[in-house]
Amino acid sequence: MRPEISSWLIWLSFIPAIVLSIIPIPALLEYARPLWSLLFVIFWMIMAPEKVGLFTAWSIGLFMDILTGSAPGQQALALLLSSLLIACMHNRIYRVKFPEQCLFVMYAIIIFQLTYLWVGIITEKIHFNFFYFIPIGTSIIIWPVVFFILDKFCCIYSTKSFTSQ
Amino acid sequence: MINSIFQKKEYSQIFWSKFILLLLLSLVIIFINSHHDNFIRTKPWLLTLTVPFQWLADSPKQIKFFVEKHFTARTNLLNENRQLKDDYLLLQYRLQQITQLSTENEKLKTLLHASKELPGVVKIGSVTGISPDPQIKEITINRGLKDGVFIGQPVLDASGIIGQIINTSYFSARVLLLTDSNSRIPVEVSRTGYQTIAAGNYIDNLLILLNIPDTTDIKVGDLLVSSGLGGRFPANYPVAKVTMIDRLPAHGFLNIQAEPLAKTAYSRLLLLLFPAMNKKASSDHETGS
Repeated sequence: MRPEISSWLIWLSFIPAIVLSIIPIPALLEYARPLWSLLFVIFWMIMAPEKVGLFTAWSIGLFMDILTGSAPGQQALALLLSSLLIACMHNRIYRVKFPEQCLFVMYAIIIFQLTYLWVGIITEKIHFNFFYFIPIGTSIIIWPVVFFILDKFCCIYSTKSFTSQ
Repeated sequence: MINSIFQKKEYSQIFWSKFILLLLLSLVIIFINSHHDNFIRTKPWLLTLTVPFQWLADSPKQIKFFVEKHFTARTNLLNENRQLKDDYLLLQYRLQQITQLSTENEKLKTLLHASKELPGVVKIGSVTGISPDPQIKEITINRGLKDGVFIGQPVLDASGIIGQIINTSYFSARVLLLTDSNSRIPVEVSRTGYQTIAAGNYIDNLLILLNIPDTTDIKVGDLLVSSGLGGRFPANYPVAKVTMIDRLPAHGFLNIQAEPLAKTAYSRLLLLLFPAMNKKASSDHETGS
């Protein structure tokens, strides 16, 4: 059973994701910052696909572009392409066991980061650096935590009782 | 119900047309913005939308400041107060000298029939956010259009120029630091008057001097000041200190690195410089310089 959760609660849950992705951290850890907004979008695309779709993902990406100073369209395109994977494979992602789900999430993260890097390089905002592959690792490590916490959030605020997988 | 979304044809069509529309839209945004820099920047309301998030992200630091402000030992405060008073006295003494020098300078200028330099006006702002991408060296400050901040305005801190405003909203503005790979500043070596351009790079927080011939008189430790060419940055403000000169015999050009004097990551308070012509901004200023 999927949770029935109201749209404004979903939108509210994006606030911590956006704040976490701009909160100041030591400069050394800056490259390792997980892609919070992407992880939150992926979670809601898995759990509530009728409420969070391509457009939500794209608009959050565009908002992140304006907020973080990346090239406008950079994160929007990256989120659009990675959410396309989740949307197309939703049938499988929703049914498979958690470790295999993690694999799909990792593909989405890789697509996001490669698109981000590509657009950044062609618009001359950033230059290629292997450090840009670190967030793929940290995001996939932090994904079970995000999933667990948002799952609990769903449990508490769902209007229908549902069983988590 | 949702599991059969992609089996239904009309759903699938809507889905793909939506995807292609958004794809084209983002490509158009990327294209337009890479060719016309002002496409997004001239729309202050876009950046204004992000201000609440900046405040939220900055709040832990503000809370820390608040706690530090209210729970500091009395002896520490007294010590700090004494230190500040000493500094104030020293600065007052320097100011006396400067006033004398500037009157003398003005007299000499009238003798030479040179144009008079109008003093600018400064406003104090503080850093509220730093760009999360380490290669995009931009910071957000808590001054915006309501304070008269404009695009291209130079930003300083106590020790030198930090950067320029590239984007404004009503309550905040974004500063492109000198060390960003897209930033260039015309400078001159204060010892010799040799003029050149200092560029940021994407690897570290250093400036690189471009195209300096092998025979140029430049040494490690030389002070670089802004030359004021181009009219964007004011003249004669300290910018950086030369830290490394690499002579490559085969090249004919020097590879020079300079360290910016302004410590951006640590300085919380910044100065926004208003040129004297800007009547609107100078009418409600706080400090004159």
